[in-house]
Amino acid sequence: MRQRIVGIADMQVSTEDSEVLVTYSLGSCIGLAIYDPEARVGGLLHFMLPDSSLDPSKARQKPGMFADTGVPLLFKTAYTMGLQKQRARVIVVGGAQILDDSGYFNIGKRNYAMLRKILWRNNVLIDAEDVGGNLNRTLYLEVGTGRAWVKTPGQEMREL
Amino acid sequence: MSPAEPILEAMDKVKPFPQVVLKALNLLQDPEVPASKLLEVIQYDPVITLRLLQVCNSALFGFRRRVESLQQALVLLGNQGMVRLLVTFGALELLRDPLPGYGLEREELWHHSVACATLTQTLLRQVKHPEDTMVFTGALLHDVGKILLNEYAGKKYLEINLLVAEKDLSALEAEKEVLGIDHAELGGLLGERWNLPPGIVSMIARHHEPVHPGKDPMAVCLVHLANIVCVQMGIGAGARGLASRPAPDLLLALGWSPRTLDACVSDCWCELERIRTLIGIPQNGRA
Repeated sequence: MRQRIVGIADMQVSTEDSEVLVTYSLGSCIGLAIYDPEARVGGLLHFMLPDSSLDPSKARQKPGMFADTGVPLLFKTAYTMGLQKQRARVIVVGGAQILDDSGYFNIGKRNYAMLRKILWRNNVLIDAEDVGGNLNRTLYLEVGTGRAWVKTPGQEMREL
Repeated sequence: MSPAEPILEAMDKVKPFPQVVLKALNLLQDPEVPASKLLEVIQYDPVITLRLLQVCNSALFGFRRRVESLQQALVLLGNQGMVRLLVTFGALELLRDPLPGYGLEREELWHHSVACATLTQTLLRQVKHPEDTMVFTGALLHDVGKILLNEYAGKKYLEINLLVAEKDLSALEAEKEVLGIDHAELGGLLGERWNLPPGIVSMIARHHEPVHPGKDPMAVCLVHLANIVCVQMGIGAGARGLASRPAPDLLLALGWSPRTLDACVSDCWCELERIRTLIGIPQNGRA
């Protein structure tokens, strides 16, 4: 199967049965995978930060950088390729933390909180997730089947 | 015998630090150094000269005229810019190999190091300091101890991982406990052996210490912070990178909110994309 890599602050949507969308290095960043089993449309977003009000011009340039611009863009792009929200399976991976008691380095938690808020407002439920902890994760989404896998260093791949 | 002894003996096996880069760094210790002196040092290395010219002529710099000589390149880039390019290439040779002992793929450590180096410059601007090639270099080389410790960390991979997972140790603490030395300390020793400027050695050796801007040099604090931010984002975090401890109260002492840090991260990422294209790492490649 051909891998299509989703970089940091990037997003890809595919209808190619032979493709696997993959995103590496999910630390505090979050990988959001969506899949419509009927239309066989899969999309994957790798966002870095929760809130685009930080820098609206960057958000225009690179909407995948922020949750509040990347998530709508992912869904909208997938809609144009046939995905329907009510059929979509939604998978969330990442949002890890370093060993920080002060709470200052909590981008992971803030990313996850923002994502939940956006999905909740849009009546989208999360079907499977692997978030938090201090793990560095890789997320795979098979476009032909919708199967999603997470890989952490030193561990076998795990299906979500 | 301490478990660290064979590791210290193995220091002799590590590749030497590129002499042209070292000479250029030492010259740059004097901020007033004339460009002609830098030119003298660099021009005798044809490989580096060629690469510098190739980069200067790439579309990203957008120079209108073709850059045909090192002299022209130096005028366009300035002393600092030239040395930064030099150390970035020099570091690529040192840091590009995969490090399975740390769960790092080929070029992953180099990419992490370039990200840290770039981020230090964003952080320097944030604390109203001018950009600084020494800090850039310290950040670029902060994990150099890993290239030597990789073999030993690989042999004790599971043992180190277990300590991190079950004893709540940071990756660095676990490494020190199992191997008798950690990559920061070892990197500092390596830097001394290479005769790197003392300021850079200290940034390498202390990049995991609980530094504080009231007591420690700003350079050391910012290399620490840049490393923490990059591993947090998963850039070159490898097998255990997120098990890192930030210096307590560092952000508080700098007077920053989490949002200040977010802004630095976002600025740095855009700059990094530019550099990545410049050096020829695929844009969507494994970070």
